[in-house]
Amino acid sequence: MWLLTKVFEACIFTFSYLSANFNFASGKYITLAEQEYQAIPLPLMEGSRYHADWFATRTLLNSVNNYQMPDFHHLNLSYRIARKTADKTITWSFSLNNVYNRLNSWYYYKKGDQMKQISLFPIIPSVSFTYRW
Amino acid sequence: MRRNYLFILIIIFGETLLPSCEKDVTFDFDRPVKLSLNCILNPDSTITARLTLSGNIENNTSFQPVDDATIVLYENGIELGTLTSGSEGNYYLDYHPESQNEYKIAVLHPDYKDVTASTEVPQKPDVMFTPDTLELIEHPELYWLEINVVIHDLPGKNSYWLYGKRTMDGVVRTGGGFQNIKAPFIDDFNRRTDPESKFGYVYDYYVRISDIGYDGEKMTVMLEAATNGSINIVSADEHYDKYIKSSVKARLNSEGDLPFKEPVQIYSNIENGYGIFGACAITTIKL
Repeated sequence: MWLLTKVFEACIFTFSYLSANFNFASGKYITLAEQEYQAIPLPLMEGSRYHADWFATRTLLNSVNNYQMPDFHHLNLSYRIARKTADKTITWSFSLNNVYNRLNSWYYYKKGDQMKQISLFPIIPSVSFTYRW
Repeated sequence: MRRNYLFILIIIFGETLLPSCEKDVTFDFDRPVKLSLNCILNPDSTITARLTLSGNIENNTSFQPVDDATIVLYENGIELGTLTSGSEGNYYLDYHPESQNEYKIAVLHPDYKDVTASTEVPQKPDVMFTPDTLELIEHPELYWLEINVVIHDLPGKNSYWLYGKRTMDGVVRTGGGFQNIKAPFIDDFNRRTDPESKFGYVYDYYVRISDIGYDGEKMTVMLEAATNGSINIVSADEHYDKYIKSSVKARLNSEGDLPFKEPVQIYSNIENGYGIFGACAITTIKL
């Protein structure tokens, strides 16, 4: 029995895991200005060079939650390899979030005459090393 | 073999540097174009109006002016005249509107629905003020004053907008709000905390005073200002008052760091169109 225990402690075990995670959600509804129109300077702001930019236009919100953003989805892959001995475990983990680099919408804003979309997370790789003893 | 793994890792990490989190987008909003009328009546000036067409949010050009419309103005139900078309959508009528009169405007154009709106011109604010010199500011040389402004409110619903203006080195500097101002009837919608100011808060762009609870009474506002400027008290009718307040709210929303805020709808009293038809009367205190 003692011999079997010693033989077991001397063995090195290697484990590897591959996992995938896919998230999907339909696009959420937001309130987005659809139109804009000519504005006038507010009282006594004519001739002021400090606030001229917001004289030009006013935006119009036709209704609440009038726009549905594109569907939200991304795929995450990860591969983990662990090497275990009697007294320690070494684990390497490689993962790739948002594998196909989908730029899911977070919010929109207007810059000049162009509407812009901001996304939070593009493709993100990560590597981790864990040592347990 | 190790070089291959290293090469793959470099490719993956390098790919993360290329994509940007911001991109251009387009929308397929299909809203009908409407007339946009902007006209503010003031007893101290002749009547001017600006007429343009609305545009989509991805408007890449300036708003198209409308020069071939017929704009008719009515005073207390009686036709006053037709505004003369200038250029770039500007219309004029050589007439000074009178306080406490009701005005209605009608815009007629064959391609769009008739646009109408009405307003009442308020009276000029009855204001007295008492300045008290606090200190001399040497660079530039001017005096810092504490001013008690007393507004004799007229019976009925009134709202007033305080606005500062000063000229330094030939440059007109406007707005910015008020730092050292105190009164119990100031609307706090544009107030923000500022520990460095005298009372711990400042008002951005304008100070709005409402006579709710003080109808027909004398309202005293204590503020501080320099001697190279003026304080303007604008008495706005209810439509123009709502327009200014919603515009300032929308402006304050756009200045913040966070993109997620409750949207602000700009007020409009134009039927079948956009814009504003309002009235105001201004009293200026020169310091």
